Amino acid sequence: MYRSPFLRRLIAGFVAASLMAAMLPVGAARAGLVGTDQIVRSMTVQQDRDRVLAFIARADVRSRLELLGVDPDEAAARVNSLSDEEIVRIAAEIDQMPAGQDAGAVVVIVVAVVLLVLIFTDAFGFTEAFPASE
Amino acid sequence: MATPAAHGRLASPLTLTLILLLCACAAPQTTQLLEDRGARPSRVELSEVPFFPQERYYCGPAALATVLAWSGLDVTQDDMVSQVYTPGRQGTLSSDVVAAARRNGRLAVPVDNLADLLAELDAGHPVLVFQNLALDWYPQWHFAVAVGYDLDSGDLILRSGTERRRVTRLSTFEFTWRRGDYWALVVLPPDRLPATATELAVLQAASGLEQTGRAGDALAAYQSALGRWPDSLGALMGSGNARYALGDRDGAREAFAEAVARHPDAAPAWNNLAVVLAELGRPDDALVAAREAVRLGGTNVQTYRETLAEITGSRI
Repeated sequence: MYRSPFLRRLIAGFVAASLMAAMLPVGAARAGLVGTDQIVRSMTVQQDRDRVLAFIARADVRSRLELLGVDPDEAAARVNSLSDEEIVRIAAEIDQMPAGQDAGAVVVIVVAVVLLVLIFTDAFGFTEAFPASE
Repeated sequence: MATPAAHGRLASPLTLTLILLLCACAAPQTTQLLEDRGARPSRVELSEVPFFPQERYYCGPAALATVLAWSGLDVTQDDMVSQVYTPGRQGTLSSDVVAAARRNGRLAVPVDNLADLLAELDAGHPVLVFQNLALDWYPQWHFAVAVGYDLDSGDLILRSGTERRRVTRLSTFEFTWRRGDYWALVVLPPDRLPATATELAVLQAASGLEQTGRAGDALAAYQSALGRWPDSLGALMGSGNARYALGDRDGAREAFAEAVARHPDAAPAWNNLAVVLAELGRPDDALVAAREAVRLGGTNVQTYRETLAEITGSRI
């Protein structure tokens, strides 16, 4: 494509330099400070965790959980052992619930949340609701 | 609705379907707002909000220019085109609108329900809204700016497209806005807080400004947040970090000291205080703070250990 070896070397050099520049850490200048974005992120996750716990504590949800054979207190205990990423995902699931909150939607969400909680805690080895085959 | 007994078995799924259909057609937020007005004025219109008639597909740039100009910036629609318009999509992504508002040093905070949207208008803040004017399966996305409402006639007033004063039924707006996933934004000068936002939403917006490199604007936002939530750990930390980024180490130290005084369990506050004290040439005080951060631990404990190691190393 580029016949001139000089031009080729020039382009290769430019590409190498920009790749190296891209790999430099962005916030390197701020030695050792915990950034505000991190604080805000952990506040966000805490709010999500509280929302998931509040959802599980709702009377209609508790009775659904019991119908599904899940101990609500056990479910709440598991929520506290979930990682930040998992909590964010489950909270997003609860957000999908329409504002009207008709009974059908609650069942769907409860099942989705319970499945997610069980799948995540299984992965951690806390539970064995979905054992690997055999 | 009376159901003939003979159709008793069919009735319940049929009725259920009908009820679901009816639910899908109602505008519940509008109904509630019109029924329960509370102390809200029946009519608000922010006539001073400027107007940028939309050119071509530029509803995003036009709406953004509208709120930015209202907030006191000297901008035009054309300035905004390069910042938010995505040519391949012949439109603008809502995330780009937030990013562009921040690049211009403005506090961009989401609004996600009709009551809050009207409350922002009550407070004199125009609201940038995202609508789907057509249908879910045949979308026609549109950005506009809500500038007023009239509860007696049930209308919302917008700067929209090429219309300076577009009047839409509140219920119609609720439909088109719902199909836009209830996405809306207030765009404010950093020292002015939204009327409805939570502490967390304001901190997210302010930290977004800080991330964009607008440390001075972020500091103004954190200071206004502290005016409303004096105990806010996030605002105290943000205020310290923004001051540090601006080169004001004494100010940063004060903010972090305030943070540990109000939140003695906040390890990040002790860590940041330690870093600044060390840089200010107070290694003994820095050591005390760094040890406290490590003792409290938490997700960033590795950072705290490094801070402690650096301070211990430099003292010897």
